[in-house]
Amino acid sequence: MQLVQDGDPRAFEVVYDRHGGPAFSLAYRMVGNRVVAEDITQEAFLSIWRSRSRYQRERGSVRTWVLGIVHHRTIDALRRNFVHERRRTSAEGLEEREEAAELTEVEVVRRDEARTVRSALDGLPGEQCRVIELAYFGGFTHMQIASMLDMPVGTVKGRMRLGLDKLRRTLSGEAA
Amino acid sequence: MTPADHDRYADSVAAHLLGALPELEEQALARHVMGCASCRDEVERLRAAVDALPRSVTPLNPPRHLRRSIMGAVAAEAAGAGAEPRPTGLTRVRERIRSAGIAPRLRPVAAWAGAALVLAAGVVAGYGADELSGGDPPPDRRVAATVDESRLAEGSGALLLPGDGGPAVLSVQGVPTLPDADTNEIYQLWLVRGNERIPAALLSVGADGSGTATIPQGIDDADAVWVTRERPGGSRAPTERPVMSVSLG
Repeated sequence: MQLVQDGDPRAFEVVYDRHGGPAFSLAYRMVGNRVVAEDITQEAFLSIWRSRSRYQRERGSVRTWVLGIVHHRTIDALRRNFVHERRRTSAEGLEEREEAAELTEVEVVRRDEARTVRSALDGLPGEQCRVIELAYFGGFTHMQIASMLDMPVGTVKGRMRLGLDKLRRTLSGEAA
Repeated sequence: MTPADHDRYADSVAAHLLGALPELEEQALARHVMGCASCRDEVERLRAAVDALPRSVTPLNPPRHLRRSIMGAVAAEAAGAGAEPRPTGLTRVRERIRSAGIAPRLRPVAAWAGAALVLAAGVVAGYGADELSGGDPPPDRRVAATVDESRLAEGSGALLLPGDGGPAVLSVQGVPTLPDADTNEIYQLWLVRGNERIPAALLSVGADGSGTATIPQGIDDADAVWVTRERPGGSRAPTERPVMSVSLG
């Protein structure tokens, strides 16, 4: 990462090769549209290149930093273009077609990791999982979620907090 | 800072980490967290869960051209050339709209003819050369909108259907700015399939009376695209007759 921060484009290729897949996957999961996901990924990586000096190792991994920027960019796109009405079922169908036929070791590890986190999410009470997914992957604000689910904003915030806390404890192996 | 203020902010930490706070609330919370050790601890405690969320996503392979495009732009910037990145996807669609343009106050028939001329000129001029090389996708299709002149007297619009299967994009010109300070209404797009009215996108129109909205869903089996004026955030069903419509039949 030091080479990237020094402005070496070849070093940045390594960053893209390691994190481009998860970045594109996250954008695609959120917008459900391949073209829009490509646009967001491109904008995010150019932004990462331009702001490379801001990365601080002590604040988290490169992957967390990259995915955080992609997430923010995608939320911006969702709120700007309002692509909320995509169909999750058709998006899942596309995912199947886009998955690599041959898995590298890294891809196998990522799929295992995905299964673990999804399993932890599925273990949350349904209403907690729903508000977390609507917020994080749907890009909806707490007020929009409250309106959609016909519940007070305070309840939505409370379920977000309880859900994240339970997810954290599950993933860390901490007793509930 | 009263205990009640603190509790209010503390309740918003999870929403903040999930990106679910509106901008003003986000800014207020960020200021509070800077000066509140308890909330900083809560942020760090819950951050681990939020950081795990993107890892739940099914891994996909990005297209190879995306890598070329990004690295080309990065190399150009590193060399100080300042070259523009090769446009991908939606950027290409937006650029086509900009280069094709829609004349303000064009009525549907004239808009059709104008759009056809512009598209033909584009092909003759060779724009989109990569589309003309091997494996040409079908040409883009542009369908002019019919406008209710009693409510959008100066408006015009057209729907661009990219030949490469990208998302359809509606662009409008000469229509009143929405949302505005008085009503806070917004334009909402609908896909019409038989008797179904499916929310498709929201459209903001700026002070110059123009705007574009991308329709992420496939619209192959839709009969029409409607535009209505709705409450902020959109409605579940149209609350008025369309002010603009594009027939796809």
